[in-house]
Amino acid sequence: MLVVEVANGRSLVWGAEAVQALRERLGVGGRAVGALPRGPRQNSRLGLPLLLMPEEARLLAEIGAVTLVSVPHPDPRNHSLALASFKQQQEQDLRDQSALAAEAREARRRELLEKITEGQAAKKQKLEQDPAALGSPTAGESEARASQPAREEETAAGPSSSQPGPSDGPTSLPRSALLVQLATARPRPAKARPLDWRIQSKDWPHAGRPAHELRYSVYRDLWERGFFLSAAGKFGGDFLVYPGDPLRFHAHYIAQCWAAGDSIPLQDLVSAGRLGTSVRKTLLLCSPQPDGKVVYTSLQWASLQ
Amino acid sequence: MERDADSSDVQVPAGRRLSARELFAARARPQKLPQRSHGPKDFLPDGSEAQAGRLRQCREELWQLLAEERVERLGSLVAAEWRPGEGFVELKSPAGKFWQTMGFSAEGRQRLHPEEALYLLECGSIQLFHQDLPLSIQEAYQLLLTEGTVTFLQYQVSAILSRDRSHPPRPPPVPVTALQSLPGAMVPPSGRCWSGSRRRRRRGPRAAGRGSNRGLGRRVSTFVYGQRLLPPAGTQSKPPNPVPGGAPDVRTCSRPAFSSHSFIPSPYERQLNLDTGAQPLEGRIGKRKRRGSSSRSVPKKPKTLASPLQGVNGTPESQTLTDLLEKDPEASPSKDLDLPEPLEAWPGSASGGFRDGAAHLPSMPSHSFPGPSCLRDLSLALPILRLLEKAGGLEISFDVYQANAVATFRKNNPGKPYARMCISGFDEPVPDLCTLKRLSYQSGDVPLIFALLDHGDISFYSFRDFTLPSDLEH
Repeated sequence: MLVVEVANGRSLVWGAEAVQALRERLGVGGRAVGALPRGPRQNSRLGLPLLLMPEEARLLAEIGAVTLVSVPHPDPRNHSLALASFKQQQEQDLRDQSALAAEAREARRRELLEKITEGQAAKKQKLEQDPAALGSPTAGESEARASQPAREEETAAGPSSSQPGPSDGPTSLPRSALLVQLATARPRPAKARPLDWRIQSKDWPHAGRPAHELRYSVYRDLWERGFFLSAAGKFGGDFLVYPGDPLRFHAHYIAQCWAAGDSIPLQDLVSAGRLGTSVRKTLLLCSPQPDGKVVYTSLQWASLQ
Repeated sequence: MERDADSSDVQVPAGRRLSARELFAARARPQKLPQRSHGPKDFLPDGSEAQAGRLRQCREELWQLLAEERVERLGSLVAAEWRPGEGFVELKSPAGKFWQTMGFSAEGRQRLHPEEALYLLECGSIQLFHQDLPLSIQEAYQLLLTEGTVTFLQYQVSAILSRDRSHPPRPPPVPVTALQSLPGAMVPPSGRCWSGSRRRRRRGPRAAGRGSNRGLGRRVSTFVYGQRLLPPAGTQSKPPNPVPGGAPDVRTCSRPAFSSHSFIPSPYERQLNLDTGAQPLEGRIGKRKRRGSSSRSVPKKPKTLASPLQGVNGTPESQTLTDLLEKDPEASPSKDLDLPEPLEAWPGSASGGFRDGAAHLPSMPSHSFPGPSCLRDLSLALPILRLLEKAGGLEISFDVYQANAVATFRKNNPGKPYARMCISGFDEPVPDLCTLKRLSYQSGDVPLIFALLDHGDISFYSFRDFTLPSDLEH
């Protein structure tokens, strides 16, 4: 059962698996509003948290796919325990990472060792050949010289080569090199109070509001028909209606919700029709009827000729 | 907040914690962002394997991107501590490169505003502590974004601008109290200077069918082009009934008054028939200008507001600029204009001609609002309006500076901002003219930008002062 936390009427999803389940299994997309860890300084692709429209959150709760909860506040009684646990974890992390770092160093060294020995052998050979041309008195010197680089290389390889043998344990990673996870979601489990979307509360002010009820009727109906919906503020509407996932499909309709019996100002119809035409989407006037059905009227701009 | 555990409480699972191996592996992650749609979108789902394959690929990439966690070296993170009582974040280790454009110094310490700290946390530049425990992004959102500090909407806009490489927005320096000392500040009789909500309330409660908030972008044009008539001084000023639940459902408040009148078919039909070009009003005004002082565009005699027009326009409600322009076949229908209150109720306005020349300010009775023509030059009339009226509730949230000014940007002396930002969501009231003028006055010569958020979908709009060309023959 997925849990979605709600605060001040705003529902945020903080887990990537939850976002995936909502989109793939339930056709509810939401909108990512946070920075993306891989590219936090751009706006074309945003990351967690996912913001759900109140209609989306309510639908998910209504069909039983999600439990809405009020955002839990940290319990001060757990603080000292959490702090102790955090410190312990950090020490453990340091040890684990040091071990891994040592492992990585060792693997690197082994790779290089072959190259080092090859290099040493090649150099030795070269130097042995040369002194033969120069003559014997220098042979000793050159041998000394030849052995010197070898010795230098040995000393250079000394610290690392001493490790696989009787080592004094992996050298500890300096603290500044410790890799730290900046957690996206809360790192500790918490207990939260479930939220009833039927009742108005500080965290859910939408219940009973005519505007919300109207939008929700239309949202639910369109969702049941298999459409994907998202916010349409930019288009002068309530929802954008897609035939499939917005990742791969364009929206077909801009849905505007009107209460049954409300008069629609002509100027609004004109503007709406024009808007739909200019963005190549059909404007849909949606009106829930008293019997529960939703009536749709599409608007097409035409000139009189 | 302490509360005893309830049996009905739900366990919220913790987020994923990366193991040491995963942390190491994270360093080798690809840094490039994949395309969102991988090619042009399809029109209709046809159930084909190709379509399904592309969708699967897009989705898998998205899940992968969302699942990645932020991994940083401890040495590259600046330690910071959230001070809830004081409402700022204090740096515990020296600031990095971000100090050039963010943060402030106080009492010898380096500090950050909550929205700056949250942004930097999301970027992976700082590690934010609270009571010695590092905060996750989720906890930071919860603790730092409160009504008292920065709201969620404000943070969203601020973060979008910051990510876009504009300067991080700074809180505006102008204190509101400075405006209290303006000479001649008057308290208008009613609480508001815009009639929309009043008119509707008097006609009785209406079902909140459709809010005009969503048409906000469209309605911007009306403020630029149209000439609004301010309500007569005698307008009732009942405050809007509070909707239970707190925030007023002001979708009912801001409907243009046209909706409350019965549809008068004839003039509009006629105009619709003629309206083949359907040009924006700007185009039409330009045309009128080119036609020079054609008397067709402006009636020679300024219509006194007391005399209602006859015939089709008999109903007082239909006296609009449109009717006065009805001689002009290309005049737009009144889509851009609100209908005014019954004009005969307007006291002492015989001198204040609606059609008078541009700079003419009618003589203002001491108890009433300035006449309509002052809208064209409202800066003169501003001292008379009650500027501190917080009826709209909208305030300037922060100043925005341009990114290319980084070299010359100095935090202590940032210079003139590129723009000032006001933020609202679709649930909030449409800013009324009084609020708009107050805000633009507060903003001075810096343009004002309004950010409107619809569940994460952001639009920016701004108003421009506009003066209708005056008829030179007059």
